[in-house]
Amino acid sequence: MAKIVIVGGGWAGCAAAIAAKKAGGDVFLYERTDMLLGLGNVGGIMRNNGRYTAAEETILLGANELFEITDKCARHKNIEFPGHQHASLYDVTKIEPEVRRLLEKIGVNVFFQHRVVDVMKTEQKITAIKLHDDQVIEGDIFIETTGSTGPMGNCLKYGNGCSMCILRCPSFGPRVSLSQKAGVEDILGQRANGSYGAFSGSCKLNKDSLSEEIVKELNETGVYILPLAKEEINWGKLDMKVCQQYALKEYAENIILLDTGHAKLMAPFYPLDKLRKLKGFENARYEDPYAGGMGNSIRYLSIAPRNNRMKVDSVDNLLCAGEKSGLFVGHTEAIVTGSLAGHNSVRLSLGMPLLELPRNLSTGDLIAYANEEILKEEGLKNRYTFAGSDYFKRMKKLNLYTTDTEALKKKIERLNLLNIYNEKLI
Amino acid sequence: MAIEGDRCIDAGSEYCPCYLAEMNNCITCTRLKGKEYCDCTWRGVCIYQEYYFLNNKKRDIRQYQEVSIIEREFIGKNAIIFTLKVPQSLARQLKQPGSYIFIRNSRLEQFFDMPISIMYADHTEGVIKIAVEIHGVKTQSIKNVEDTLLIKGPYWNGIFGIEEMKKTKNASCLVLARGIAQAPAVLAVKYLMKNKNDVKLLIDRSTTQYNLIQDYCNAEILNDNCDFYSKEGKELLRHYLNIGNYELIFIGGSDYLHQNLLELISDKDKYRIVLTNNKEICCGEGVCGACTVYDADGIPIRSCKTQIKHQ
Repeated sequence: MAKIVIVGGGWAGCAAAIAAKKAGGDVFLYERTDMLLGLGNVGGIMRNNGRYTAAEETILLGANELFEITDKCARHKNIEFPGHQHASLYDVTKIEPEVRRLLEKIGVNVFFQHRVVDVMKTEQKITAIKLHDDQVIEGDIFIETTGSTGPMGNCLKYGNGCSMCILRCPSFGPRVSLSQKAGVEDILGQRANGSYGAFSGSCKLNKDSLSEEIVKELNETGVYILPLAKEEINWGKLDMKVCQQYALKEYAENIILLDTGHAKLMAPFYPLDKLRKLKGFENARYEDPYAGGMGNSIRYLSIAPRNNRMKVDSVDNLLCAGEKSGLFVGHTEAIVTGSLAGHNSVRLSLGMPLLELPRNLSTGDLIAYANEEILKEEGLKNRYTFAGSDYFKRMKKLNLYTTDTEALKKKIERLNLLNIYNEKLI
Repeated sequence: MAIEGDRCIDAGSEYCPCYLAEMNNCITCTRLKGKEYCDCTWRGVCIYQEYYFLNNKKRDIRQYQEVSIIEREFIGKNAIIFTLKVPQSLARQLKQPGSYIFIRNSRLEQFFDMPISIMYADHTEGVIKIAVEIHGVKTQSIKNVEDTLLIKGPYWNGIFGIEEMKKTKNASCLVLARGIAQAPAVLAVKYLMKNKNDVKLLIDRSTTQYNLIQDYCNAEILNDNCDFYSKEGKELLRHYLNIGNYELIFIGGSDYLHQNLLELISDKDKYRIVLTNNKEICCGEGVCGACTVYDADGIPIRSCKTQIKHQ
């Protein structure tokens, strides 16, 4: 049996674990903190715009489990907010234990508070990884899903310092880029002005700290929009954020809250004293990051060069997914790339040709398009998501966007890829 | 023996960030080493962020202070135990195994500074004890000092393997100490015993001709007068290694002794090995370079501040 070692338990790592397990791998997942899902613990937006298509494609390819959970844990389904249609918002306070139970049930070996700090290599092959306590873990194939956020030094250098986000670096230790340890230089994303990295795009307010009126509207509709006075509008914030799909003028002119269990404030950060001047926000306090009045985590500082089959360049047995694999934004994008990396890990161990998703699927096109664009200077300033910005425009232009699951099913059947992730290869 | 090391003993302490950060030579932080990326293994509040909060300056460094000698006790032929009255806060900082201070005759220049291990620290009374073997020019210079000593501290890197030692609980440990290196062994033995370890001792009195340890801790002494370099001494060690189920071995003595005894231990990976730091420590701040050792890649390591591992 092939021993598949996955480093990083975010959405991408979990998706990779499930796909690798289903393909017959013996799967070991190492997570630095005490929770799975990483930034997924403070996210929540699914199925908005092109993500609907991507989710349905991925389910039809056979990676249905995580979407079933996000659908099951949705507080709101089929809602609209500026620039976004048919979104669903999962409850961040419910989702992690569900995913944890699923991984346990299917027999993935998950290790919490196990921080991977180095790799051991023979020529172009990783033979083992090294944990923070010097333990050596051998494996056949490795998948890096360590993300691209933090650690604290990066959040200071390119942001406003540690804002105490869910990643909790001071408690659990810094993220380590394994591809870089294996001798592959990281690619860094840029902002419009050329500086490196980007702020995470939203912060979470404690719902109990908001007025009854706001909470009521959030609970009922999932969305609360409060127009800002002219002098309060900060256009600059749109440029600095990761989530270009939310970098629309409506997001500068209004305070937009989404109900994900917390009240998700669609701005990278917002000074608390200013926020508390707004009606209904008089007692507001942050839930994530704790210092959301000052800053947010910094991302896109550690991307591995890879091919469209998710294999990292110059290392024979390392795959990657999630933000590690490109300037991607979002859980859906992480699950899409993670599932492919997980499935391909078993193929790689068997010497089989690796699966590449065709470009007439939105998922295949995103993976390939992001890889083309990252080679361009301007491309490093863009983010790639099914949910908006340039890529969603491209999806529509190429006719890849659809909410018609039946049509998608026919297409995937025609491509002979229906349920491919469910095939046991070993 | 290959050496590796990147863990600064001062990281996260009240003396971090230090001059090395200001001079782009931090042991832990890649950014404070002039690199454009984060690649540290430090688990705690980011040193770069600490440095930023200090307006890109180091923290205050350790200061010299003149302290009274409460007692001088001559032991054996040429060793002295000094009992010093120090601030309680300093005594408290010196309780950790591997603690040391610099001492010198207050009438002499800074280059008479010598690093001396702490043998005993009582923070309620503000008292510490150190044992000095009179050898060369530096130690000669304090032989006849009766009233005060100039000291600087606390420093902590007197022992390599401190993390291993901290992890060891409810286990069997074998402590081998020779001569004046019995002094740093005292704090180590006490620490191990506090963690409910069963500690057994083999002592080579060497030139001090004295069993220092029995006065300061009540661990079981298997033999207090072996000669580790003799055939009999080595046989004795082999015997105890065979019959004991030890998890940790502490060796207090010179690098030559470390090497000799480690050669006797066939399955080194089985044990946590803790060694005294015998490098030539001169400034204690990672600046002067006297203590430099090189890792397998030829990268210099300042062993006065860096925990190093012999592989």
